[in-house]
Amino acid sequence: MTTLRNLFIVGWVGLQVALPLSYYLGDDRFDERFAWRMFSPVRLSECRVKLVDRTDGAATIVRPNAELHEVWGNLLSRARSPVVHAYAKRWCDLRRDAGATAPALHAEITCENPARRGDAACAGALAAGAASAQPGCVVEPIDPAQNLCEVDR
Amino acid sequence: MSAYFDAFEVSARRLAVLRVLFFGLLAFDLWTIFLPHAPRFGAGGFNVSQVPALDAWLPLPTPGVVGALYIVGGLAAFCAALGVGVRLALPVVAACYSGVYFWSQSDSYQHHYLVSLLLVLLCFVPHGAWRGDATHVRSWAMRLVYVQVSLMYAWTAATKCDAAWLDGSTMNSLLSCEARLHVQAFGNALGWSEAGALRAVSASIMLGEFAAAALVLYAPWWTIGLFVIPFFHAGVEYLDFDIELFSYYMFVLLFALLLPQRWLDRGWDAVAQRLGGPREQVMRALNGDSVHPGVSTPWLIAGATALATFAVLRALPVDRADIGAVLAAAFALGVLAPWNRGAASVGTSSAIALIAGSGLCLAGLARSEALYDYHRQWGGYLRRSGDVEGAIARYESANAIQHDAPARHVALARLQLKRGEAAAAALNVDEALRRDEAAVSQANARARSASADAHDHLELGRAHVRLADTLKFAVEAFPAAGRSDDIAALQRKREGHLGDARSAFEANLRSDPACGAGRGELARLRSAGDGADR
Repeated sequence: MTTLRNLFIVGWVGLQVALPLSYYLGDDRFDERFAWRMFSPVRLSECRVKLVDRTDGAATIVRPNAELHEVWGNLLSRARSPVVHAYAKRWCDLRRDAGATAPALHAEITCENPARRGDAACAGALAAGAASAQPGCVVEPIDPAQNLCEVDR
Repeated sequence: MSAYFDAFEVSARRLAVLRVLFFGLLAFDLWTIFLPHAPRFGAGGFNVSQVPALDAWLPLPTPGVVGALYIVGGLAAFCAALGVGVRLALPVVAACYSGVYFWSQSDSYQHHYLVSLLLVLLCFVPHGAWRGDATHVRSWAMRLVYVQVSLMYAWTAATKCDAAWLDGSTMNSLLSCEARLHVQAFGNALGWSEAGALRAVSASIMLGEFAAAALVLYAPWWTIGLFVIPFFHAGVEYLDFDIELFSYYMFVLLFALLLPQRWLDRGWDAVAQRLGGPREQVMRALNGDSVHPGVSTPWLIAGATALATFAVLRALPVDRADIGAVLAAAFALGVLAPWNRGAASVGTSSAIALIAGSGLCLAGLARSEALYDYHRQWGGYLRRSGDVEGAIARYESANAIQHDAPARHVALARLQLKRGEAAAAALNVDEALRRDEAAVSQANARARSASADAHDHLELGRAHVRLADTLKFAVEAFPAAGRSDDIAALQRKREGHLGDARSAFEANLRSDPACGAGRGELARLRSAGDGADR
């Protein structure tokens, strides 16, 4: 019993150290759920989110807000990666069910770099886009070249 | 490490204070703030849990099930606060609250995560300690509660050790107009610029949070913590950040966890002296000689309590209220079951607490905006997603709940007009006009009173805009219904209300020239050409 309890305590404290640490050591700055990051500049960073259907070489904009509750739309617009991937999985599965053999969905997400919010050199960087903005002013949390239908299969 | 946790002692009185304050707040939170959000769960057939790897195995949450869990969780929290059936109530609250939190990322508030963790830990506190079987009890779980709160402060301080926080730019983005004026005044008093004051406030928050992490962990420092740490949470409320009840949870937790034992004892004795006698009499009258384990009366009372709990909660106007009512009845039976085995801590008072809790849930919700918000928000989602029938049903429920106050009659009328039900739409516009006019009269009375402030003028302006918008829609809806109302008169009336709205917003700006929200409202009126459509 004592061993079990000690394991529980060690596991609990370990998780409470490891989860925030994994956020700071990881690549995804936009998923702060378990990081205890309150009053975060990430929450204030704006993102431009575009989901593009590139099946068969087309480039059609996908509008998830038309089918999802606004709470999910808000999380997508904050570049919450698990939500982007879950939506992509659903979209790709529906396309496959409809007969598409190789559906292709790409997430073109550009966000203000939270670490450089307020930096005058980065003013207007989001509007300029990832290609034209000064280096480091914007970030792309998900590789836009990645076909999410392949990743999340 | 083992000794650090094993040797931790907590007094039964401290646990009683924690129980009453924390679980009382939780019941209020679940019923009035969580419940209106239930309709978002599973909307559009989409969900992502907090652990997406589990999504393949987890069922899709539904508003009915989530709403039921919030209702039962609230009832269990209410019982826990009163010390009724704590052994069962704690795991039930933890399962309802934490279960829904981990079920969906649509709930992403960090303090919901904190409360989820604390609820799990509190399940491991020896249940006799909640009953006050001994004056002090050793509890590794309570030590872990302190460690958890400390870790939270430590991490949130560590996250602020970056340039964006320390240079004041993050704080600058978060401040409301009123809060900014106070920071400026603070800086002026010390001869600092606004930027300097922002940097000082930001740095002191970061340092204060590191200090909080240490103060919580070391008992001799609790008194200092009790006076220092709540300032951060008071500041959050002062700055008007929208984080629901987080600050209040922290006030309650810090008070219960950090109050020095001698102060707690002194306060306890004073309260016991005043209330102890009457309480004893009530408890004796309720639980005294009339109950004998083993006879049929306790089972009858248990059954009647479960039935009453079911009947009361079944009457809640929410989706699948029957699920919540059945779960609550099962909880009631579970709480009263130990009674039949002769447990001393349950009795008629427990049965009364359960029925009172259910009644409070029903009556409290009827008097709050929660049920209106529940149907209104659900109707809004259904309307946006093209489910006209569903949206109409939700708006009708919302309007019925809101009694005489302005509600969603115009939104409902728009949908009815779209469906070709012009006569029904016109009736709803009539009702909207009646309620909007009453709201203008009330707001007008407040704005003309001697104690009127900027907010009263703002509310009056908004009431006029709402009425002007309804009149605008009436111009469209009444002719469609074949009514011969004087359209030109309606339009003149509308112009009059828009003029009154502008005057009220200007009065708001005269009362509060620096931060009056009337500025934004006037800009909205200008950009809409007159008034904003709802």
